[in-house]
This record gives sequence, structure tokens and C-alpha cells, in this order.
Amino acid sequence: MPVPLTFIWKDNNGKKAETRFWMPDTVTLDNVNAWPSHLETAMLLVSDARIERAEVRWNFPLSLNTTAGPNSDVSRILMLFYRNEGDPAAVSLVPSPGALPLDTVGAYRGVRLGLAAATVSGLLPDLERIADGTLTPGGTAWPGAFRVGGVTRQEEA
Amino acid sequence: MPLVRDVNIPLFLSFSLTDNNGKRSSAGFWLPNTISVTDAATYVAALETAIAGLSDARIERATVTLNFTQPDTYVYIAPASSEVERKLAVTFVDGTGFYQFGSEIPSPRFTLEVDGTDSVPLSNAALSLFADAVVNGPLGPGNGATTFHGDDLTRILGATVIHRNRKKAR
Repeated sequence: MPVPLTFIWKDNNGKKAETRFWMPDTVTLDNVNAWPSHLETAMLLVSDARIERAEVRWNFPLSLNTTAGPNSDVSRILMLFYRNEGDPAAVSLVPSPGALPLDTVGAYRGVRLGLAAATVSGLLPDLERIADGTLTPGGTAWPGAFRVGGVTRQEEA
Repeated sequence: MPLVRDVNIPLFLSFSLTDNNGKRSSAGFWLPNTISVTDAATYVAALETAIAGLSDARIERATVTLNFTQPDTYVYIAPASSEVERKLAVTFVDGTGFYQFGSEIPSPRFTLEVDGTDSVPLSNAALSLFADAVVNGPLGPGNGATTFHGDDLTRILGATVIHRNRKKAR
């Protein structure tokens, strides 16, 4: 599967544009770094706009063949907060938290604290798996035994 | 100055989920920037399991995004004549000649145009170097850019200058 490489340009008036290429499936996370600067140099031979940045979006195969449950609704969201002392907090959204009882999520507007999400029986291993497998936006690990809080939200119709 | 990957910024992993009504949403996480492809697949699998334990929506896709930015010392300012709505439309073709890929480069240099026409001759030195870079990639022949379906691009087919909503026939 080709990997998309997108360049974001800007002209003198501040207007932006995009150019996309497809890299071969032989490109890996280890050798992809050579591509943006290579094509940037080539494109600047034919363009006088400024290249602001480039973005590579990498699709990974999934191992589980999940299906949507009959009551699934992605407008219901479980918001996971992770925070270290002194670090900025990270928020991850898990749409349609079917593992939570409906009365925990509730049908209401706005945001309501739902820290109980982290104490619902059986969910803590999954929440901790997320905390163990991810970083803060600043790139540091999440220390501490209890670092997950939950808030649930239902978007307005 | 070349675009560089900021190794201080964690990788962003996004899962795309769909509910029973076909509505879509996503779940995003930050991953270590130094991981390999194998490591990334391990992270994706672990987090997919965690999301599947929490959500009853269908997990459709996992995408890792890498960002490349200009260094602080990059001071290039596009000239006043630059205009991203003008494009250099370039068509490449694969070895069979059947599969094509079209690319649009914003604000083409005026030196590409000949005799006031929008057509750019394939003999133009700058265009030729650009085409070689796309076809060969940074790793050499056989490892260049592809079509959307993964067909290797082998040569440039044509190039013309266009303006938004005013595309000329080739």
C-alpha cells in the first residue's frame, strides 16, 4: 500500500496549497526521512512558493476484526485525561464507550465529570494499557500507578 | 534548507472508528518518536485491543502521522509574484503506459513558460530534474514515487501551467 506524502505550501499572500505524492510500500519508518527533503529540493526547481511543512500518514493493519455494536454511537465520547506533575495534560477521546453503563455516560449536554469511568469493573486494564503504551504530548512517559481519569460527553444533536 | 523530522515531537497515532449509523470519529494517542516499524505495529496492536475493550464502535483504521518542518534558520520568503492558485500540472506514467499520476506544484516559476504559452517543454532542464527526482526517489531507480494503486512511475508524460478553474487541455 503506497504511503502518502503531503507538502503544504504558502505564497506571498499567505494562501496555502497542498501537493501529494505516493511513496512505494518499501518505504519504512526508518528510511522515510530522506523523502521530504529530496522532493522539496526538486520541487523548488520549478516553484517559487515556500514549503511550510510536510506530512506522512502511515496506515497500519489492524489485528482485530471489530464490528459496530447495535447501540454504538460515536457522538458519545469517553475522554481520557493523562497527567504527570509538571507536564501538560493529554486528552484522548474514545468514541462510543460501550463498555461503560449507559447511566454512567448519561444522555446530557455539555461535559460532566465521570472519573468513575476509571473505577468501572474490568475497564482499568484497558485504560492502563493506553497509559502504558503512549506518551505525553511532550514525549515523556506517564509515571505513577494511577494516572487515568475519565470524563464522558455527549455532543449536542 | 531541507525539511527535517523533529525527533522531539512524539508520533501521533489515530484510530478511525465508525458506529452503527455510519458516523465516524477518531481516537488519538502520542507514541515515542524513535520506534521502528515493528515497534509501531506492536503499539498499534496493544492500543487497538484497549480501544476494543472500551468502545463498541468498529475500529476501521490506524494511522501514524509524521511531521517534517523547516528549521528555525530557514528564512525564505516567497516573492510577491508567487501565487499558489497557479499550478504546474505534471502527469507521470508507469511502465505499462496505462496508469498515470497527476501532481500539481503551486506557483510555478515563470521561467518554465515558453513564448507566452502555458505548455512547458519536457526538455526544460528544471522540469527534467524534478521529474527524475520523482521517478527515482531518494533511493534510486525502482524506489520512486507511485500511483495511488502502487504502480511505479517511470517517466513524465507532460506538464502545463494551469490556473484554478481554468485548466487547459493537454
